[in-house]
Amino acid sequence: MTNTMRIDGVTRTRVPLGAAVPSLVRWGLSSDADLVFRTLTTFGSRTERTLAVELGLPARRTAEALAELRECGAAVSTTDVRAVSRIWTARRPAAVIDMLRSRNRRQIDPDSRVRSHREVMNGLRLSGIAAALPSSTVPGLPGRFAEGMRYLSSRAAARTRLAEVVGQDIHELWTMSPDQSPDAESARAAAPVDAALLDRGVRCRLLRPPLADGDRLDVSSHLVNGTSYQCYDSEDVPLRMLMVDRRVALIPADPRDLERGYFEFSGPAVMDALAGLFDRHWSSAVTRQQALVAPIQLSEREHALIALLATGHTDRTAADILTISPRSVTNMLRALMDRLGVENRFQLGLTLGALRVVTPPMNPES
Amino acid sequence: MSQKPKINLSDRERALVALLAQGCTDVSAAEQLGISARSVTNILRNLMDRLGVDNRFQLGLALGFLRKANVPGPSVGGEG
Repeated sequence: MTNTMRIDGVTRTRVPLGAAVPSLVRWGLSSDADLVFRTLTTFGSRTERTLAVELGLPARRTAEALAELRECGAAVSTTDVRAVSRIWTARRPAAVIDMLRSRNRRQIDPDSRVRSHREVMNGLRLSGIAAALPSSTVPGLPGRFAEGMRYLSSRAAARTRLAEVVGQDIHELWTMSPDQSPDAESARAAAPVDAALLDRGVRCRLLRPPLADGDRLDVSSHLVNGTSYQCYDSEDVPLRMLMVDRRVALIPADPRDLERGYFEFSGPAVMDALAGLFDRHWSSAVTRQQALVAPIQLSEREHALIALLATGHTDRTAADILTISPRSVTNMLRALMDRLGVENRFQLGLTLGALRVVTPPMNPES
Repeated sequence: MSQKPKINLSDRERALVALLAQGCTDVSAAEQLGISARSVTNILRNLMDRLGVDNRFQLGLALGFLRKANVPGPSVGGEG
């Protein structure tokens, strides 16, 4: 980092109290760094010393947290000579997440994409679900080569076939795409098709790696993650696949060269396997995304414990009800306090209350 | 909960709650406020009675829920 302070993307307006600030812990930062970032974001710019005092953090931990935030670009400071008078400011959470995302994202190497594609196809072939699949070449002739399997021998043929399938009365179109930077031309070509599908009430799902440039060319952003068009990021999309109503799937014949056409699958066993594959990747991507935006996510057990303590149970009586040891209760609460960056039960209560995790029983005198 | 319970904190209660919200112990909060540790206990006992709760965790929960203290932070009521 140079000595000049870059102020673009640096937050000027505070995030409203209680608003969800994405957790930086999920991106590999320490909980101290996360806590300091939240504080800067919610309460505005501060000096290191103010932060330490307010958060009750030892000076060393505060300094380390700030160093971490500076290193990943989540916070910047003024360049006063004396460290004590430097004022720290957080960048906008959305900009920070974008930066962390691109920092975390390794460029997916083409060979690993080919490998994961082959793994799926070999799995289908060797398990006997699609024994007739050629092992490494493409079939010599276009057309049906086994029950429920066809070879569409060019990209154009595949597009024509897809248009035909999609033109029928369909309900769902699921897409997996390993492209990190889809070219603008194909995105623009897809946009009107997507819009038409939405008009017809077709539910579309798209699973793909986080885009390299963060650009979303394909569909107007207000449509994304509505009820009928959903798109989630996944770092490990196994292969390119289009699936209609869990009934028909198109997969490139050669992952290195889309011009060599696609396989079309429609047999029930293959479709079960492919739909299962999609489901697994989809639900893990959805879970990850939700974890990212939720300020804190309690496990069912944690939630049950907190609900009991909220009604006035002691550690011991709560442990009895949950049939766990009082020691487990202590450990769960300790872990929760660490995640929230607080030191004691009173602060834990304050935080959970402010986050509306549980409703406290209150009957104040009138 | 159909109706949001109202509770008004005195200045002293506010100051105490703010200190505890920062992670202060009873003793250090007492020192900073220039009162005895016993007074701290009494103030909190009184607050718990008014809110109808039995322990510190519930007290935190109630105050957090009512936005009577920021978490974690020095101020009461939202001013940074």
